[in-house]
Amino acid sequence: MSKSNKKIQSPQSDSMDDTDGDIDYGSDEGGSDEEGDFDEDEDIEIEIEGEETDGIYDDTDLNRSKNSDFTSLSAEDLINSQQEQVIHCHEVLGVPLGIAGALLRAYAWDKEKLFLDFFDNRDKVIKKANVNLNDYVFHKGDAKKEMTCPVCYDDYNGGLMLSLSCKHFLCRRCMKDYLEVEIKDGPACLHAKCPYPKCNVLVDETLVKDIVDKKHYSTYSKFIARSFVDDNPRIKWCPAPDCGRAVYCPEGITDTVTCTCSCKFCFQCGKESHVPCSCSELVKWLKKEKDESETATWLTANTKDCPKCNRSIEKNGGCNHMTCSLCKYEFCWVCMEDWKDHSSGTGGYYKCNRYKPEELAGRTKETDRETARRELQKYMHYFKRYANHDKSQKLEKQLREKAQDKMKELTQINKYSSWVDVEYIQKAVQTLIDCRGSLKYTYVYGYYLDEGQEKNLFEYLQEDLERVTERLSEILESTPVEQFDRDEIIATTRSAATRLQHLLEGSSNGLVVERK
Amino acid sequence: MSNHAALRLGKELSELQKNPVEGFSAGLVDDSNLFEWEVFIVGPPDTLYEGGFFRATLKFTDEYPNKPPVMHFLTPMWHPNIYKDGKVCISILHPPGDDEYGYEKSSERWLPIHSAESVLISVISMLSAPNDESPANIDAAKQWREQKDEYKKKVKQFVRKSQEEM
Repeated sequence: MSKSNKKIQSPQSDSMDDTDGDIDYGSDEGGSDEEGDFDEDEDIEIEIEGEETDGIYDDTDLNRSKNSDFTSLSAEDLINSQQEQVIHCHEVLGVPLGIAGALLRAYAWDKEKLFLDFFDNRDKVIKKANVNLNDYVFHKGDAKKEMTCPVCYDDYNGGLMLSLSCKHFLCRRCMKDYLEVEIKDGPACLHAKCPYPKCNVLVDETLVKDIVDKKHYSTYSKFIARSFVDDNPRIKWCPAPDCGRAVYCPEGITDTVTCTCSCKFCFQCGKESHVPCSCSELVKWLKKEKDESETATWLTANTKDCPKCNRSIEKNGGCNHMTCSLCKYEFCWVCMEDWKDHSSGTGGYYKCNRYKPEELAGRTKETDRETARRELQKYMHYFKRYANHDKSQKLEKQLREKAQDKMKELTQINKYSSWVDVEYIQKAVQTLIDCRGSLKYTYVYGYYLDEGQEKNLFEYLQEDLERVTERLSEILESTPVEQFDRDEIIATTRSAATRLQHLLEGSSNGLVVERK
Repeated sequence: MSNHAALRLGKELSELQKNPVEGFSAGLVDDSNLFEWEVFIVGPPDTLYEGGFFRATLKFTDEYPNKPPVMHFLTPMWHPNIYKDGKVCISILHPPGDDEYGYEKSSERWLPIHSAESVLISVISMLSAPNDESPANIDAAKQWREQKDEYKKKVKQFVRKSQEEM
């Protein structure tokens, strides 16, 4: 951001489709109508004065949230922010707006590098971006002469012919058709050149704006905004479906960021947040998941049989505490053992998160097949738990909507309670989703962690977090609203959040000194 | 735009018929349809294709001239840049923009400034100078590269056949 004191807000309703990046380039020619609205000047001068464009941003409320280092940008913000960069470049370098945009795109929006290079070797930069700095206007032919358009072969008064700085003239209509077809063809239109063979003069944004219809210009602006994100290493699209926002992150911060839509994602790889495991571990894991998927299919199947009556059971909530609807047997979905054994009294409420290689050790001879089988078993152990948390997380995300209803219901039941009094439910659900998301990736992290003290400690924290998470999930899912114990939920939420924090801090700092 | 395309095609055709260009002739497949042309190409002298007489079609869309026509040889051809079904594959006939395979610079590709005439001139020069980087007929390209004599022999056979067909 060039102006760090400004704030950026993200209006919820914007999507890429309904914004129009209209910006006044100071062109006298407003219309995109058919030919005929030229004045008599030989050249159409597109003079861009600083004062003319300054006003555009004064009424745009670009705000930056003070507490976070990253900023969520709506589609409209993106266009504004992109235009702000173009204007800044135009002011600093003293080049026309259209050219400023082309230069920035040629430099992947790295303004600092562009400035350095420009002041160092101006000609090289101009050549790189294929623009003509000395002649950025577009031209009209000689009004005293007849000219033949080389595309439609019609004869026109020269005054009705247009060209870029290269003076390769086309009639207005053919130029319009040419540009509109280029725009229709996709984002490559940003690099459209003069339609003459071997002519490399880049089509200036000013010409596009002046000549094509509003719909096409709006598409063109969106491509510019998209290039602003796609080519810019400091901005990433939010991966949530239908979000359409992007997140700006200043240099140095490459960890998890949160979009206004509440989607948390990794700024480095653009995937959903995967702490504590690293991007490279995630890539390895996902590849493995794909490779092993056939073997894993049976494990990820949605139903399991009740360990007591063998009835098929489908899991319909995120909590792992299952009660068979037929025989009422209570068991843990992960290890399929009696739920009673999971009580905190047995010193391991959630023992099933531990993978024990010693059970398989003690064999003296090992064939390759056995090693492979053991490796697969190890993977399956982690994968099952990973997939399980993933499924729970999906189900619990639905809770988010339900939570709103529950909150409304509560305020109605007790007319003395206000929205603030029930907000704890929302917070609890969000914490649950966060814990679940991290728990899922603790199994990826754990899979790649070497056996040893660190792993033991990590698994202890993991188990601890799992226990509280399950508890929270159970309270939120299976307690009727009117029986909600506010204090209990708040305490459990806090306890879960603290444990999550400990686990994440532990895995990123002190817990593990060296990792492979 | 379709009207625009038809107008331009009409002008191109009448200009070609008024002032024929050496090496080919052009007409309509069906007089009521300006979008489908039939062309005859004479094998250029001092090349392998000398003496040959090749029939082809050019099909235009209503986005012409912003989009290129498609060219098919009706006479069987043996050439690295002509598919076995007769479709011609050269850069000037490819839509503008970046080449997905990275073989062609966008400056060599279709532009609205090009015309049926410039396409045919490019095709005629392609006959004697194949581009084997992006072959359409891989067998022909391989032969052209590795067994020039065999290739020459085969082309001559096709040329002879084209004369017989006339």
